[in-house]
Amino acid sequence: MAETPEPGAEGADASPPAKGAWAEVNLWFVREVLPLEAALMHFLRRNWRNKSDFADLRQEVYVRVYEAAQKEIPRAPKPFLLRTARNLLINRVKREQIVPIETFADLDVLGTGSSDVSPDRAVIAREELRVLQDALDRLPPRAREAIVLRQIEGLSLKEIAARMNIAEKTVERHITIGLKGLADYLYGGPDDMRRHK
Amino acid sequence: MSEILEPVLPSADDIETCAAEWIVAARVRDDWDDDKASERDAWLAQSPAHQIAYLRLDQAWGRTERLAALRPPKRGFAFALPRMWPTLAKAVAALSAAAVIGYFALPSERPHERIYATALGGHDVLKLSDGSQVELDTDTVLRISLDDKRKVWLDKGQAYFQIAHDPAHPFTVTAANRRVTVLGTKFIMRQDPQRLEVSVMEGRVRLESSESSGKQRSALLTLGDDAVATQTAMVVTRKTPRARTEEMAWRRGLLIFDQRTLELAAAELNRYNTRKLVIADKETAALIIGGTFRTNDVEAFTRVVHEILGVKISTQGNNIVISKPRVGG
Repeated sequence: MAETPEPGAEGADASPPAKGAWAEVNLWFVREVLPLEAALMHFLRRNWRNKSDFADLRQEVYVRVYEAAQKEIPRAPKPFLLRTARNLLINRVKREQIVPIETFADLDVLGTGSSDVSPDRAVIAREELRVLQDALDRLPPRAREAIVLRQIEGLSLKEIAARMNIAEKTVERHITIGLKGLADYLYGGPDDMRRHK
Repeated sequence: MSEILEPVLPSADDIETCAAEWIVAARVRDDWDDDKASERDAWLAQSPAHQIAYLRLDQAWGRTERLAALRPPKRGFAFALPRMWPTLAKAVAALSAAAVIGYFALPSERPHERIYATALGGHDVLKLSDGSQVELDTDTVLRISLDDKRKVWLDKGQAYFQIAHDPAHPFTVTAANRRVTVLGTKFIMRQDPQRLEVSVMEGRVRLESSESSGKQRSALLTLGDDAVATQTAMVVTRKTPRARTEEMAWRRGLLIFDQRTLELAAAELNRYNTRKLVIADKETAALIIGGTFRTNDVEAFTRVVHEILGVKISTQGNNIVISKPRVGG
């Protein structure tokens, strides 16, 4: 035991300082949680009537999951995500006293507890471009045009503005709208692209 | 009562809009700098909700960067947007699994390859920065390393390589588990499922193949050599100048058949067209045909085949069925 600054007490890896740990949660979130968004939205749609709440509910579920992961990364992301969603809805129901709790019966159908690989994650890479095109196809036309000019034609913001004959600020707004729609489609699936018209 | 109901959270949509604006600022505008970055970081640090919205949208944006694969290699987009969509769809269909990489790569990990793909019936010429040129035939996927421009992968289809001479930097093409190394030369490579063919038009080419058994095979090919490597074997034959001309015909949009079976000829045409030729029976498949045909003119081919060989032509949906004529109706 020479000079190694390794007390060994915590068995702490020499590497991750705070920033690394933060990055680890982000990485986990992107890899394990985002691909489950379709399942999450499916669950919310089945169990919550008010569509206008979906975006807020999704965000809150994500925040809770993310905060939990900062303490300890959950082993089974899908059951954890859906349980979090269920608890959130139950709390809301209790508070708002609108729907009976039995509504949540189908949680088990969604695979809690089982260690199945979510089909959403098994998306074959080959399909990625097809999915992207489907997503693009569903965007408002101007948003799609701006994104295509940027990502396929590789034009600069200035060039896009000239091509579309609008101000750069307006191009930015179209891309902003388009990006939100894309994320809904790419993560939530076709049924989740309802806003951002 | 109402204050229990999340009084502090701004709507998810507002946060998302804000995150999207940051992404546009960072990834689309070209005036991004350290000040803006620290401003963004401060916004991110305000709440996990900000962090998550940003991560999610940035990831979606990162995924759209795959679309760059559909960027035409030169002369920009010659056609207008509305016309582009069918082409895009075909190009998308043409991309193989291997062509899509870094699907989950974080935005900070830039993709180190660029993908070029042609649609069914497509034809494109890539000019590389070292002066080399790669001509892509129908339904072809080629990846180029961004770190080393003399390193490419042929995932599927056929390409004609004209490689600028540079003894210090060998040019390598990898197709499945095989690698072709050249210093400067012209050759054709065709990657079909389970099969790779390399024909040398000029200079010398080294073909190395590593099999799943761990066995290495290597061959030095020169002008006129034609190597066919399958999962289990590698065979080198000589091609006559005439056969080489025929092999190059696709570059002019032609297919030249010299005494080929109808089966082989139909398979070649099918590589270029969405309307597929289907041969109904073995007897018909074995008929011999010769001639020069346009890669995209299935009708002309079937007309000739009907007139010369007397076979029956019928249409079934998207397929054109070639069968032997029924004797006596």
